[in-house]
Amino acid sequence: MNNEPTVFIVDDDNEVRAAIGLLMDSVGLPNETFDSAWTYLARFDPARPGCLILDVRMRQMSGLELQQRLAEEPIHPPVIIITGHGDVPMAVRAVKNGAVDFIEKPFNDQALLDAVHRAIEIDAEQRGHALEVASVQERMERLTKREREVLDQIVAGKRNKVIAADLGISQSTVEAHRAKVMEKLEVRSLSELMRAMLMLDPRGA
Amino acid sequence: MISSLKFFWLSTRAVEQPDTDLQTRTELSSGTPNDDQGIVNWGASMHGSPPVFLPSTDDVIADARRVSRASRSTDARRGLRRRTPKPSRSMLAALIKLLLTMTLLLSNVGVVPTVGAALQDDDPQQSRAGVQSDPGGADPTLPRHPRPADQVLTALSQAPSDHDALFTLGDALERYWIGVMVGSGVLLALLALTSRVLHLNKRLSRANTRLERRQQLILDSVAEGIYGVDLEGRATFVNKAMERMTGWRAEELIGNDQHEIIHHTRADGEPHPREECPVLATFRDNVPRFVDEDLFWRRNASSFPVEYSATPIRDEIGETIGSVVVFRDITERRRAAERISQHEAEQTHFSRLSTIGEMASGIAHELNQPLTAITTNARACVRLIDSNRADMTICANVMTKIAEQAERAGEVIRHIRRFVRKEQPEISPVAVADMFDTVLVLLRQDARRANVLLHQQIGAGADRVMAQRTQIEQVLLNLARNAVEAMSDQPRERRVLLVARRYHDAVEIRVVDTGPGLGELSPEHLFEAFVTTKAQGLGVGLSISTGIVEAHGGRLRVDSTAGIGATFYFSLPCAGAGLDSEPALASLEPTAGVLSKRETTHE
Repeated sequence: MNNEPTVFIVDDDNEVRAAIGLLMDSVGLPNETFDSAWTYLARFDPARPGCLILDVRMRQMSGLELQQRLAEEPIHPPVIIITGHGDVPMAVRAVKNGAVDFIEKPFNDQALLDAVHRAIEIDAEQRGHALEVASVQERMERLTKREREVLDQIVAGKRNKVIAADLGISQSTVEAHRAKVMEKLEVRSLSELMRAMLMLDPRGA
Repeated sequence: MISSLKFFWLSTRAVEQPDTDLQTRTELSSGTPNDDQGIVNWGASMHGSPPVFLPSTDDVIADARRVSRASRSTDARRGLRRRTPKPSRSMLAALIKLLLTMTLLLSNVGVVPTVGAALQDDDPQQSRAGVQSDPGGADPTLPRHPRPADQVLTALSQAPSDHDALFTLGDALERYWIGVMVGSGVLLALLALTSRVLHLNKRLSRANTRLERRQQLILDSVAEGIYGVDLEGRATFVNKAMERMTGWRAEELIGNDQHEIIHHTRADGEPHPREECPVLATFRDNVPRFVDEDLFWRRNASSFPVEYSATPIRDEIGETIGSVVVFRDITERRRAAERISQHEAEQTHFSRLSTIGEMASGIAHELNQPLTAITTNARACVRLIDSNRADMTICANVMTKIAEQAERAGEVIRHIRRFVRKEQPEISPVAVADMFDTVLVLLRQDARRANVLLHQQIGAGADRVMAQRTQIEQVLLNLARNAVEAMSDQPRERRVLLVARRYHDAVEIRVVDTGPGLGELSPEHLFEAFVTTKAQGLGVGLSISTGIVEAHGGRLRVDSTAGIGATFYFSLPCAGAGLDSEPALASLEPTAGVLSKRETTHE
């Protein structure tokens, strides 16, 4: 599987699409072009890193619609919106929907490339974060039911004595469970444990 | 009456013979005035009875006098002489005779005998001959009663009427009073009649003059110019308005060829041939004409536009004798019409500008696409060169693409510029595809945004029309934009199809959509100005479109089916098929169908 970030270009204007592709080529960025939102969706692979350059005005499915569809996916490349003249309201909507940037046509090549690089970084971050979450979740699977209960009490900030009283077990048993949880989740300190837990639930416990 | 005339004749004869001898006198007096035989006897004694008497010197003298008198009054006698030998039985003839006699009497009272003598002498020649041959064998040179020569001379020297004052006017009146009365009566009657006729004549001519003056007054008070021409085309009358309008005076026009004076040249400067003059044609074929646009020339060689009617003039028996022309200067009207059409042109121009304004965003996008491609390609190419990865083939390809995109942008700008141009070209042959292109180019981005597919289909033989290009493009763009907007909310397939199809000598242009139809909007109101269903629209689009189509001689119609779509269509005159070979080729492919020859889809 190709893990090199790829620039995906979706524009229904053949010439513009090809020109953007050429620009990516000129800076050595791997790229793929799609003539409509549908063709992109048909070949969408969430695992592939990179970014998406999306023309906002397209027949059948507009850039905004495609963006909304992608938002339903757990992970997708960051979106750079290309707008025509006077499409500012659309661009605003796109940014609210999570687009990392919007660029007005005809654009400065450097501006687009900067946006592309930034988007790729964001994608990498997003993908790294997503990997961590996935591994924490994987480790969480190892915990027993009792260990999960003890973990919840720890995250809630309760001390061992209180946990023992609450669960009706001895304080030494709580300590044993706690050590097991730390071991299974591969965290060395309470603070590390807390960070891993926050990753799973950003709203915080 | 005749006998009385003879009596008169006899008595004059008697009076005239004062110097004849006694025998003659006796013989005369022995005849009763009423006895016709008296004349005969006397005549016989004159011409054929030598034994009775030989002419005396006196006779000779009297005869000579008679001769001279007779020759003097030949004219006076002639009429009578004609009648005397065979007196007419008609009363009228007698009356005239009497009247003439009386006239002579009255005018020549003192010489009544002369008349008598004249009357007696039927033929002066004959009487002279009688005188000369009278003696009947005896020597005429020897008088029977010789008289001294001085007596003869004395007698000759005497005036012929010395002894004639015997029959006076009183006598005449006394004797012929009936005749005089009757004659006077007739004369008076004639006189009265004559004066009556004269009076009537005068009234008639006054009435005529009045009538003519009134006619002229009517003619002159009319605002239209009026003139008549005879069969040679010469003006027979003109009115004041014509003098005023043309600057020619009536006397300069009347009798002269009107065509050469006021109608000689056409508006384009070409001479106007006589054979084509409607005024002259009117009396040739006897058909009245109305000409709504022509040119008349003024005296100062300027011209003015006119409309006129020419009607043949017939005389009492229905024979055409010329024609009458009533004309009106239409300068003002034409100026008003020009103003109106100018306003209309401004309105359509304004409408085009506002259309372009409303479409500005889409059109800018349409320009941005090639510009984006150009700049991006150029930058990429520079980057490739900078990084030494540039390949000449790649660069050449990119440069070609750049050029093509620049041309594409230029094409868009050309379409816009032509569309917003104010001055309009004339109606001329236009390729339908060119007009469809303008619509597709200008509308592409809006259609893209509204997710509408634009198609065009041009049937065989429908590729060229006679049209004012920009205006028809305006109509098509109006209709296509309406269609795009009408479909913007519908979930169904969204398509707008521009179709051109040949029907006989016309090309029918259709704008078909798959929208919801017209709904409650009735087709009658649809084409009126300021009727609109759009939030921001003046509602003038369709009314302007209607005007444009009508100016091309067509009519904008609509078919609509709810839930299926609407079709707006109109016809344009076909511009000479066969300008290029394409239609001919298409017609060779019957299975290809009328519509499949040229079909493109713009996505």
